[in-house]
Amino acid sequence: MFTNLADGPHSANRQCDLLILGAGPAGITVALETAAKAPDLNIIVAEAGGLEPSSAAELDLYAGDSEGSSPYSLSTTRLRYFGGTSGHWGGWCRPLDAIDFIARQQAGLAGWPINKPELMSHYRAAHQWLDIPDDNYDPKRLEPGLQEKLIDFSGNEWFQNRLFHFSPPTRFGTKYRSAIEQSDSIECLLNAAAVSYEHTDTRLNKVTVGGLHGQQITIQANRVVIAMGGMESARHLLLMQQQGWQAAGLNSPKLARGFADHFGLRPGILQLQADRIYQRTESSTGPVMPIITPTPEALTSEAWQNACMMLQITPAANRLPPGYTNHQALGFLGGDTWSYTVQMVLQPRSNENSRLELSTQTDALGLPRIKLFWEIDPRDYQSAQSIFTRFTHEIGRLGLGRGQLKPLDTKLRRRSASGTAHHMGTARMAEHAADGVVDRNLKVFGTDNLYVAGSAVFPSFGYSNPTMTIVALAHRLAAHLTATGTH
Amino acid sequence: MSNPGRRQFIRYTSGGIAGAALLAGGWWKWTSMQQPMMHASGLGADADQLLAALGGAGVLGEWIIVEHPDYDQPIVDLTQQLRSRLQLPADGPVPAAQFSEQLQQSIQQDFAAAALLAVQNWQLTRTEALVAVLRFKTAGVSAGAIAQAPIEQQIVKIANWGPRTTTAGTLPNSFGEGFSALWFDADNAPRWAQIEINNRRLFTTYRENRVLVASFQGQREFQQQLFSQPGEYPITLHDDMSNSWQHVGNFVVTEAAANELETTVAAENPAFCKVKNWGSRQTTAGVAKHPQKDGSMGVWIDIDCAPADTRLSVNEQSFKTHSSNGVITSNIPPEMFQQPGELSLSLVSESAGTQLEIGVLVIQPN
Ligand SMILES: Cc1cc2nc3c(=O)[nH]c(=O)nc-3n(C[C@H](O)[C@H](O)[C@H](O)COP(=O)(O)OP(=O)(O)OC[C@H]3O[C@@H](n4cnc5c(N)ncnc54)[C@H](O)[C@@H]3O)c2cc1C
Repeated sequence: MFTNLADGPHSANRQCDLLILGAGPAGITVALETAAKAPDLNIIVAEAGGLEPSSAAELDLYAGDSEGSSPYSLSTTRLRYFGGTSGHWGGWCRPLDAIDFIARQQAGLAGWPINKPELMSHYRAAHQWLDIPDDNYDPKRLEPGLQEKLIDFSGNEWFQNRLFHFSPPTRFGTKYRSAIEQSDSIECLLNAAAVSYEHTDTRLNKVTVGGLHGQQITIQANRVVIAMGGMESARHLLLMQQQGWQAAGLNSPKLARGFADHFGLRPGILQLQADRIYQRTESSTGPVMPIITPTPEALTSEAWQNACMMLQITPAANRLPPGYTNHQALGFLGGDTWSYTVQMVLQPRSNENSRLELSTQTDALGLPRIKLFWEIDPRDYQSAQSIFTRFTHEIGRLGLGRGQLKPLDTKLRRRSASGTAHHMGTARMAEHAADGVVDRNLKVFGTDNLYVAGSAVFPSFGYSNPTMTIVALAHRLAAHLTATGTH
Repeated sequence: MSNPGRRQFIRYTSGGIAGAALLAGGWWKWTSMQQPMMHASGLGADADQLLAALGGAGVLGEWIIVEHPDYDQPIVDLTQQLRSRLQLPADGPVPAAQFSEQLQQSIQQDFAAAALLAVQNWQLTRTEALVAVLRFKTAGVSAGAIAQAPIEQQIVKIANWGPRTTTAGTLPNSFGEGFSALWFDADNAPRWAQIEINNRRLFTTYRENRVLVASFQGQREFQQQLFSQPGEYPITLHDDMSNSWQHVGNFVVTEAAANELETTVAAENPAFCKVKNWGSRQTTAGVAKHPQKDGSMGVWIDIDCAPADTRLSVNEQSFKTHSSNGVITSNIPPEMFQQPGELSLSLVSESAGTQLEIGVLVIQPN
C-alpha cells in the first residue's frame, strides 16, 4: 500500500515492527523479502520522493559541496524517488570475488567480517531480483564462437578471463511497485524523508518524516533500517552523532570516512590480435562482458588491488611499424593486430582522508548539507600501473602483441578523475567498532535496533559494480531480521 | 644509414594514421620483394636473410636509436651481444631455424624476467631491440620500395563517385553491419580493379560491369580511425596485373563541431530556448523508431529557438539537424542503437559555443 504524505493530513503517529528509510534497491529488497518471510510483521517504508522523478527543488535536498581533489557531483549520481538510483542505473552486475572479502594488509585492504561462501545463497537470490538468469561468471561456459574471441589464458599464473552479466536493467520502482502496492503488511510512505530522530542509549525509538509539502508524521519502530544510498545514509548517521547519541558505531573513527568510488583508468594501449572482444556483447544466454583480471595468486603475491580490464577498439595514431607484429621469428602468433585502449576498473583502497562531513549550511528541510572530500589514494595509480605493465609483458610473452604505457598519476589525471556513482565505504562492516560502523549483521555498533543497508557498509570494494552485492546483503539482512524476531 | 626514403617514412609515422597507413602500403610492397642485403650481420647468410625479412623491424630499430643512443653501435658489437643473448656460438653462421627458435625463446624469457626497453612507451624486450637495431643497420628500412613501385597511369575513366565527405565521427554511407562503402561509376574497369583509401585496400566488388563498390567490411578499426580524424585521404584505383594505379580523388573528413567545442552546459542557455518536449526516448536494440530510408532513426526536439548551425550530439558524435516550425529533427545512424544501453542527447552550436542537454535515449534489449 502507498500513502502519499504530500496528499494531506495523516494521523500524526505510526507504529511498526520494521521501519525502512529509503526505497532504492536496498530498501525495497529488505521490505519485500522480510514481508515474504514474516508476513505478520508490520513494515513501513519511508521514501523521500514520490513515484515520479523528483523536482529540482527536491533534488536540491541532495546538494552539497565537493571539496576533494577532483570534482564530484552530489546530485546527479543519485536519484530521489521510489526505486532510488535504479531509475537510471546501467545494470552492470557481478558479485565480488572471494579474494575481495579477505583482508590483505600489504595491499591496504581491510577485508570483510564475512566471507563469500556466506553470501553465496544471497547472491543467487540477487540474480533473481535483478532479472539475471545466469549466475555463471566463468567464460568457459560461453559458446565456442565467443570463446575464440578471448585471449587464451589457460594455465597463466598472472591473468584470467571473467565475465560481467547485465540486468535489463531492472528499475526497482517500476518492477516492484505493484508488489508493494498489493502487500498487506507493507505501507510505503511517499514524500516522507527522515528528518529527525529520537533515541535512548541503545535504541532508535522514533523517526519523524516529512517533506517540502510541510506534512510530518512520527513513526515509532522496533527496528530501523537506513537504506538511503551510500552518501545519504552516512549523512543521517552523522546527524545522529551530532545529536549526541553515544552509540559506539556512531562514534567510530570510521564513520563517514573512507568514502570510495570506482574511477575509470586508461593505463595504455595494446596492439593485439584482431577481433578480441572484451566489451559488452550478446551471448546465447544474454548479454555478457568478458573482462581480464589478475589471478588471485597474482593479487596476493604482488599485493595488487583487484582490477578488471576491458578493451576498446581504438583509432591509434601511434602503432608499431606495419608488419612488425606478424613475424613468427619474433614470437608473434601472426595475423592482423588491432589497437585497443585498455579501460581498467581498479578496486580503490579505503582512503581515510576521503570523507563526508556535515556542513554548516542547511537544506530546505533544515538538515545540514554534506561536504564531500573525495580523494584517491596515490597508491591506487601505482597498483594500476603495475598490473597493466605486467599485462603488457604477458601479452608479449604469449606472442599476442605489444603494449604501450600511458602515464597514469599525473596532475591532470587526478584532477579529472571521475567516479561511477558507486558510493561506498562510509559505514563499514567490521568485527569491532574501532574498525567500522556496523557489525556482521549490519547493525550499528552499540545499538539494539539500527541497521544499515547499501554500499555504505562495504569495508572493501573489489572492482565489481556494487548493486548486485547491495541486493545480496539486503536479502541477507531480511533473513537476519526475520530470524531474530520483532524486537 | 643512407636510405633516402627513411626520413620521410619516419616523418609519416609520427604524423598519425595517414603516415601509418602510407607506411603500411609501402612496407608491404617492400617486404614482399625480398631486397638484397646492404651489410652482412656476421651471423651468416641464413640469418641475414631472416633479418632482412623482418619487415617493420628496421623502422623500429631507428626509433630505438633515436630514443636510446647507446644502441647506436657498430654491427659487429650488436651481433656479438645478440649471440650472447641467444646463447649462440661466438662465431660461425647460424642456421635460420636455430636463429628463429632462439630468438623466440629469448624474447619470451625477456618478457618473463622484465628485461625490457621502453620505446615510445611501447614495452619491448632487450632481445628484440637488439634485433631491430641490427636489422636497421644491416638492411635499412625501406630500400627498393620506391624503385619497384607501381606506375601511375590512367586505368579507366571514372564518371562519378561518392560519398566524398563526412564529419569526423560519422560513418558515411554505412550499411547493416556498420561498414561504410564508397561507389565508383567506372565503365569497363578491369574486373580485378581494387580501390585503396589512404593506401589501404578496401574490399572491392564490381557490379553489372559498371559500378565498383569498395567496402570497409572486415576493417572496422581502420574505418573508425579514418573517419574519426579530420583530413583529406587519397583514393586510388589499382590494377595489379599491369602494376599500375590511378588517383581518383580525395575523401574529406571535416571537423566534428561538438568534439572540438569548449562547451558550456547551463540550465539557462543563452543560445537555446528550453526544450519543450522530445522523442523518441526509448527504443529496442536494433529497432529504429521513426525509421529513415537508410535505416537510421529519426529524433525530434520541440524547441522554440536554436542557432542556425545547431547539430545533434549523441554520445559525443555530432549529426546534422533540420529545423522547421519550431521542431528540430535529426537522424541517429543504426550502428549507434544496435546494443542495449543509453545515448545521451544534446544540441550543440559551434557559433554560440554552447551545448544544451536534452536527455537520455534508452535502448532496451530486444
Ligand atoms: C548513472 C548511474 C549508473 C549506474 N550504473 C550502475 C551499474 O551499471 N551497476 C551497478 O551495480 N550500479 C550502478 N549504479 C549505482 C546504483 O544505482 C546504486 O548502487 C544503487 O541504486 C544503490 O541502491 P540503494 O538502494 O543503496 O540506494 P539508492 O538507489 O540511491 O536509493 C536510496 C533511496 O533512498 C531515498 N532517500 C534518500 N534520502 C532519504 C531520506 N532522508 N529519507 C527517506 N528516504 C530517503 C532516495 O529517494 C532513494 O529512493 C549506477 C548509478 C548511476 C547514478
